[in-house]
Amino acid sequence: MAKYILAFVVIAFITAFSSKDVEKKSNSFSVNQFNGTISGTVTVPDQSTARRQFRGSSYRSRGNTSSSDSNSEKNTDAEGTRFSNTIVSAHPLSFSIPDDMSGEPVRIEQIDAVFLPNVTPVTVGTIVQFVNNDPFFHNVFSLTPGSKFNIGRRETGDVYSKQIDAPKWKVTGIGPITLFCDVHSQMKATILSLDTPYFTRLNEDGSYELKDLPEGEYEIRVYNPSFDIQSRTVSLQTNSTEQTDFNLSE
Amino acid sequence: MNSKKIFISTLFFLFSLSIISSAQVQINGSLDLELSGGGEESRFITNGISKKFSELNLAVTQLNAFLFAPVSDNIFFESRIQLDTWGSGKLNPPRISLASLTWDNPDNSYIVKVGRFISPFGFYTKRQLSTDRVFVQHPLAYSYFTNMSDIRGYWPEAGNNTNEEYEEGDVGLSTLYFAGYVTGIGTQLEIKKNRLFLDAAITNGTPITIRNRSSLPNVALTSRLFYRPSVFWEQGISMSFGNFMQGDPLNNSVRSQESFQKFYQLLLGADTKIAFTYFEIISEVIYSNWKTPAFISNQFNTSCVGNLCEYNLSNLSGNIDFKFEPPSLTGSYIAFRAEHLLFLNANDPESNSSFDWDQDVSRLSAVFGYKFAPNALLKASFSDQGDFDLSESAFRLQLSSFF
Repeated sequence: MAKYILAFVVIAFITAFSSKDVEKKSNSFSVNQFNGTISGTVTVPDQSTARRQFRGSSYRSRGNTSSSDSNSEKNTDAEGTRFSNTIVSAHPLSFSIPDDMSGEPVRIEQIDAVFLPNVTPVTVGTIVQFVNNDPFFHNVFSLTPGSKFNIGRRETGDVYSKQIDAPKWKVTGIGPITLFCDVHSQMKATILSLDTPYFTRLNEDGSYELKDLPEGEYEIRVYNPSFDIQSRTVSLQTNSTEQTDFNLSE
Repeated sequence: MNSKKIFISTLFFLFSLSIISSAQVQINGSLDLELSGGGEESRFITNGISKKFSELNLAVTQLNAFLFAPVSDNIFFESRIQLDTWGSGKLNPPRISLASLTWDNPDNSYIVKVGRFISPFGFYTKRQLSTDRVFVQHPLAYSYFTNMSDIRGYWPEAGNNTNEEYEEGDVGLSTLYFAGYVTGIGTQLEIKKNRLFLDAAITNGTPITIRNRSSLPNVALTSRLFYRPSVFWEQGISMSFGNFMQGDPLNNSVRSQESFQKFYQLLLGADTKIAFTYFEIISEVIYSNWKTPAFISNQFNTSCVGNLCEYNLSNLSGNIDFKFEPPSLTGSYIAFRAEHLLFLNANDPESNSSFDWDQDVSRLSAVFGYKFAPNALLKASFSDQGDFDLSESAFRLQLSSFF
């Protein structure tokens, strides 16, 4: 009889994890059922920063310090970009998540002197790949405490891909890691290092949906590099959907 | 209304216009705080340290305000108001060092600018801000004052050979104006996308010119062709030719006899930048040739058949900079520079004999830099020059910030 119970438990475990559909992570934590949803909208104010990068500006360092410039200018042009730079994450409060939950490698490209994507959410431990797709040098460095690094000048990926591997390293710590290019001071981007596998990027209409969440209590955080982080606690029951809206101007 | 008032009024007009049209005006600033000291033979015109401040001296050495104002989708106005310690070692009154209007249409492969802007010539003119510069000092071609004056021409008694300091008046000029600004109309042309660029300007003087206004109808053509053969190699060649002499009460009498427009400066330059991963090597060679009058023993030399003697003088300067960023200490770098300024022998038009018109100088510099924030850079620099006996050494600890 014990053999049958053991077999049942093993099959149940395998079935549970093979059906998991939350945010592309494959983590093995013993939590409740995966069928809750948290959704809503996030109001992201128009920052009126859609300015063109003039080529003839005299100073390399000019204009990359104010908060309104926190995104690369090209990235703030499109109406949808202010939404796509906004990340909503659900941080479990009532159950724990294993330390190792690194996901698939994530690629950040440098194209036309812009980091793409401009905001990249990853789980702790994920490998990030930086690829220079411009025909001139780029560098990537971070002075974020605890996550300082400098990959040096890197050549054009397409042209010199045989000569150099894409740079890789482990992202550590939790929170925004600000990236710069030492060659082009207007270039700026963020890696959002998260301690949860449950996160999503805002849709173009400002809506979001975190599906297949285990039952439990969560802190929902909204991150946009131009605004303060907003958070709210939400309790999620099995098979339920919770609606939570945010307004970043508040 | 004098021209200064007109100029300032124009600035305010453009500023107001830009606020109304786009409300995207950016105002930034930068500040340099420096602890410096030098050897017993320190002089501002040689090693950049004023003799009276050769003991350890803590000072704000530069304060800048920058205005960037789009006037329309394709036109922007840009200016820099600058306070610095050039010459006197004390903070000078503010001056407008840059004020230009630029037409930059993204559909075109060129831009056009008018006003006072950064000279196309050379590599280091593009690194105006201390936060952009690896070293604290400019290379010798930009910072070492020669026996060449724009009101006297060749002047063997210039500052290098006297006890005069920069603040005491004319002490000669550096081969290229240290701040690198020119006044005129210029264009930047992208000949081959991301590969080949031409930067050219017609200005009111060659790049030796300090003044934003020329007192004579001077004209000069300055250009730089920039080529990127590969991602790790950038090559520039520069040239400039035109007038550089200025009118002054000192030369009024001789100018009434002979036009100063026949005197010129010819500049040729080549700069190379090779950079890869954590290394950067920059070298620049500049040749300068002047056709100039001479001011010897407190008078213009007019002993050439009763006319101004015309001297043909040249110098050649070169520097090589090596920079390494230790990957294990993010934000830091070490850099070394070796440079030499060679004054080529000249021919005396009177005696037809050869003579040295200025003293050659060599300089070695080392710097450790640490960027502890994206726009905050700390540099510790040491240099020695001349006889390398520390008498003309210079030490600087400079904190540069851009905000």
